[in-house]
Amino acid sequence: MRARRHIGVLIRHDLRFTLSSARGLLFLVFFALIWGWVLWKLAGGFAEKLGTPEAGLALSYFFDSSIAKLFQDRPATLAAYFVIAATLTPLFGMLAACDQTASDLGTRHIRFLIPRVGRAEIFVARLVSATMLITLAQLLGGIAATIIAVKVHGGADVSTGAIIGYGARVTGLLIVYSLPIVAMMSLVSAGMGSIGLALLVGLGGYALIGVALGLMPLEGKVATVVSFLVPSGLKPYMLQSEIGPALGACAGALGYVALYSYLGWVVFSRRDT
Amino acid sequence: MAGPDALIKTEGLGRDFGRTRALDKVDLVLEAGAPIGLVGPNGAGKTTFFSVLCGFLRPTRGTVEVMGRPPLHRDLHGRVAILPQDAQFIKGVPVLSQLAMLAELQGFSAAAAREEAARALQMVLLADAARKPPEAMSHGMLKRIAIAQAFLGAPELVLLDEPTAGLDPATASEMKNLIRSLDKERTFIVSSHNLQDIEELCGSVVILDHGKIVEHRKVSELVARTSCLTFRLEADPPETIVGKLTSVPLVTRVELGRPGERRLAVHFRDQGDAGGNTTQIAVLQALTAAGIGMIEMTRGQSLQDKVIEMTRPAQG
Repeated sequence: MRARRHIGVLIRHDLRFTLSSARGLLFLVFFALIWGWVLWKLAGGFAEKLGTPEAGLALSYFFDSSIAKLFQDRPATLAAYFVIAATLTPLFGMLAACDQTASDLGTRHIRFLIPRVGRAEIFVARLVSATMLITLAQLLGGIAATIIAVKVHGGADVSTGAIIGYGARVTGLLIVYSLPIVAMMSLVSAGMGSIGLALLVGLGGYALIGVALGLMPLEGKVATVVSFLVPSGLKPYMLQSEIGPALGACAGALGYVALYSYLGWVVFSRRDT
Repeated sequence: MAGPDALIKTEGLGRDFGRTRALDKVDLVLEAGAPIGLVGPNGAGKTTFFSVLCGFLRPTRGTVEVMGRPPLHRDLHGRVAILPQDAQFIKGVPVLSQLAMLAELQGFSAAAAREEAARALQMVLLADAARKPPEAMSHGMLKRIAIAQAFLGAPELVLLDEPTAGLDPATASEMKNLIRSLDKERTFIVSSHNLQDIEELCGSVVILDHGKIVEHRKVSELVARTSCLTFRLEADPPETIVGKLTSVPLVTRVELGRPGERRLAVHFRDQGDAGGNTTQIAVLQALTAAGIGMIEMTRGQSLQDKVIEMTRPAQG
């Protein structure tokens, strides 16, 4: 009971402090600027052209046939939003969640907290508040994209209900896809004890695996194992238009959350403060 | 043996940093009551010991208990308050909000927490700064805010690390008065390099050197107000003065300062006012007869002199 109250107090203040801090505002401004531009383009009917058979060929060539199928099966605006958002989610997730316990440790602010609350409560509260921040951002982006999709596609071909339903699914999947990123950053921030270093290691690690997969001749099992070191391995399954693989990816995402959070807790609980 | 009131108990406590043994076999029992000072020269292990007591560092060996529990145990939340030396407040957030959050974590409701935070700020004379963020404050103000957070609620034990460091003399005096005004209600453990503060504030003192406890005694016993005279001299005294002074009745021991310290301490048996005064007069006469010029004479030894003496590296 007391632990739940402590976590509630920490989350409430953490969100309030984050939204009034330079770092929190920087994330929100960056997020809003990028998505403002992308959504403005989508509102202009930019994605409609990607739903044509010619564009499908190009998408199959440059990306994946499942991406091309997504654009043909689903409202193209939402499909475009989904693909772009899924690509950017690791970046935004890391930006939103890079702090967590890092500045508590780096500035030793934690020394004001631990005579009053347990380490587990601090760890959980920071994880949950970072999750809430990125969830809020994904929710706002998803709602905006759905409204634009209704305006662009609503009417004769696709029912408004179907667009809203798919918009909700996309938003839900993006939120779930954000969770392992947040959990991964809980591990990195506890290990680094500095926001800048946590961001650098998080982004650097992701980029390194991206480069390894893109440039090095990894094939078969090695490529599969490397691609699943970070949650980005789930992205192709999430992006499929069928619900089955997406649900499997969600289950996988929760597995990452459990693993990263556990490792993050192990590091955080054993650190001297 | 620890009594029922054992506030802090350590057994075989040790902490290493790599190959450096910062604390070694520290056995200590501290009871609730008058403020306790924790002192020692640089590198003595004072900060490490303080950090282990606070739960900031884990011991490498041995055990430590605070009020019968490991440091930071759930049962101690809100009962033990800590003034850490180097912890920072969150930038950009008014200090009142930050203290209110800490008070909420101690069990206050949101509204009561703001009142409690305002009360604590008033205690450290910073009520006017409530809405300022930490970056708009001086080092001294931040220290006082950190002291304020240690006085939120009603902790039974308050651990203060260098409470007057960085404060101007007037503010330091106010903070010491604040501690004195509260020391009947709670026990303070004060770690400080400022031995004059420790002497003024504390009833007993723990002296650390090379990671070990070299003394744990009442301050009054250490400074020996009624059984010692300390002289500051115009020049270093000759060694022959030791023999002359020890021949004075009731004088038990004579300590010469190190070369350049121009200091002399004369210990004698405390036999009440009459005997003590006679001995002191005889000591003064012996010094005058030896042609030793005196600048100052004080009853007893300062804690600073005593700690320096006890932690001085052995010569030879």
